[in-house]
Amino acid sequence: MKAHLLVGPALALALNACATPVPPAVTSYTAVACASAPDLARAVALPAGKPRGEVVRTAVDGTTPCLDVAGFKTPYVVYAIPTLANRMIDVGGAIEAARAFPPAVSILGADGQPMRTLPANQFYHRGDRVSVQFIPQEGERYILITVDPALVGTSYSAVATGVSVTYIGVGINSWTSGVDETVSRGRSYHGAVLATVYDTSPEPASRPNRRRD
Amino acid sequence: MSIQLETERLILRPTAVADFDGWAELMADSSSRFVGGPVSREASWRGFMAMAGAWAIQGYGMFSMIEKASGKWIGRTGPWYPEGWPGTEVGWGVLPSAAGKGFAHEAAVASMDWAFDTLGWTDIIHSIDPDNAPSIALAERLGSTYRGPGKLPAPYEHFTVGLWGQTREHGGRAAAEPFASETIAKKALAPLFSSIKLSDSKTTPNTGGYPMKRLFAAAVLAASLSACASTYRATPYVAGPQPITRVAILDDSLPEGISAIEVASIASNFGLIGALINAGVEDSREDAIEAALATVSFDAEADIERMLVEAFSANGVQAHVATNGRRAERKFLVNYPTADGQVQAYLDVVAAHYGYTSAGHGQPWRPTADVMVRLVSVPGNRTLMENRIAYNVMNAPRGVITIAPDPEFIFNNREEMRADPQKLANGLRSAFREVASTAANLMR
Repeated sequence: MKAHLLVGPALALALNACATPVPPAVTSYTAVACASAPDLARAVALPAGKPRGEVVRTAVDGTTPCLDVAGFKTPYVVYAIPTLANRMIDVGGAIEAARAFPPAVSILGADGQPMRTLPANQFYHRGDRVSVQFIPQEGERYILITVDPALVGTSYSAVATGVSVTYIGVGINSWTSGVDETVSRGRSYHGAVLATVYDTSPEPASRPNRRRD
Repeated sequence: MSIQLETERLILRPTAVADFDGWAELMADSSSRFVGGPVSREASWRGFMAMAGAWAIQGYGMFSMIEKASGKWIGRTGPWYPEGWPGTEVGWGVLPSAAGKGFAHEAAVASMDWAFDTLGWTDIIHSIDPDNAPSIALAERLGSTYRGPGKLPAPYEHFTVGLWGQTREHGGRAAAEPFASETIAKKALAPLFSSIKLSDSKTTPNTGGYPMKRLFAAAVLAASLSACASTYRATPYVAGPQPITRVAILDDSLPEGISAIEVASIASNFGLIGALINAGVEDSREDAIEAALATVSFDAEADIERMLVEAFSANGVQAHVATNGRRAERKFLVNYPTADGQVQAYLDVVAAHYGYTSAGHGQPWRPTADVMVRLVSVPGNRTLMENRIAYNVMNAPRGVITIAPDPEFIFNNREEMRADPQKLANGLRSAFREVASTAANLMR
């Protein structure tokens, strides 16, 4: 994951952040009683998915359970993979105004044992997240998301561009102008995990009357 | 920037004074019992002004439905979210004379798209009286499902309503087609220039001195401003039992001309007239950049192909460029070359645009490239991987890989670009290198 990769629309978050409190990056972790294995009973069931994606967002905060992986303590989220054919899953950490959740992702079998770990070089910025995409394989039942120990606590800066729309008070007129600035974010223990399930079936069922323009 | 949507038979625009007669007629009719009527003309004025106020103060409200054929106000449809409302609603109400002709459906589809894509709503409800069978049928036709009984705030607390709704994820396109905003732009321009075939050509055809490419680019930009919420669905690579070590890159990856797009330019705030002005300015700006690049050794197509070969090589994959001829459109190929036994896969690379972009007036210029890549098996032509890589592209659809620009390559104005053509070329090479590296990495 390269430091200067950045989500495009993220600038909007930064702009909005002027008016609302910005959750800061949490760069140290003080959890004490961490389990040595994820509690699969707490797995969040991912939805069946839609052709243009069905999103699940899970907050990661002080109440999130933690794992102790060889002495490294990390909050974790477990998702249960839908047992359906023709699904693609995008999973990662949310990019917020001042912080980003740096994900590490493993795929577990029904017994909770790791079947594969998705390598860090396959994570990319995609809009509102840093994520990896994969197609579940035979026997894969859970997704375990923790923080990436190599990244959490660090920060990065990147150029962000966007547009700002200003209402100018007469009728319905507004004024659009461009914004270009460098945004810094901390890679944080707290934030949110995002997963999107796509139904990749050949004939997707979507709202048939949506305009196709 | 005025807001106006257009459907096949309707213009949808914010409330205007001229709409009041129709509004009062609707609210006086017995059919308005489901939407707070019937009420006198005087009483309906309050609701009318509330709608106009919603537009003025919060920037959205229900659209007035203007029938194109007659120019008359025939109803209202669109987003509505008063204080205490049970959710973000898209509602509708049409004059009895316009009912049963599909106008409400036509307007609701466009309004819901606008609410999802422009307002960024993630959920839409319709609060409907259980006896209002036509509206329930319309909600179902729109793809909404019944969620249960709902409660409205005062002064409607005694109304009985059921809530119908759908999420953004439920509705919408199955998957955005590649470069969907370009498609939007083409469709937007088509009625204006129906006798002119859109082309990548920089010189022909043109419209009154403005090359179509420039108008097209302007419309792309206009479309891209509202396209941010669309979704792109990639196909991640799944390694097979036989590792891929030999790939042919199918050429003609880049469009013929460079782009130089100021996204939120001053002119962009002035509709089509502004687009025409933009077209002229962009044409001049692109000519200046191309003239500057012509003074240094720079071949965009050759550079990106070389970088793709190098990127694959760095990953242990032998790659070479296969000449493919000129693409008719900036799309993936429909037919792939016959297998020659030398490669295991083709990499189809096609860019919608490359060049320089600025967020808006007074903002710096940075390199940009918007590239689609598809790995196709040989033989079989099965898609093994497909992705879209957006280097410094504003408002890329969700699901697209987005890469921030290298801060080293920044120009504050056209003069700076002219003054340092080598840096101009290196900025583009920097973008190509990132795109190539990402493309090769996606099949690891």
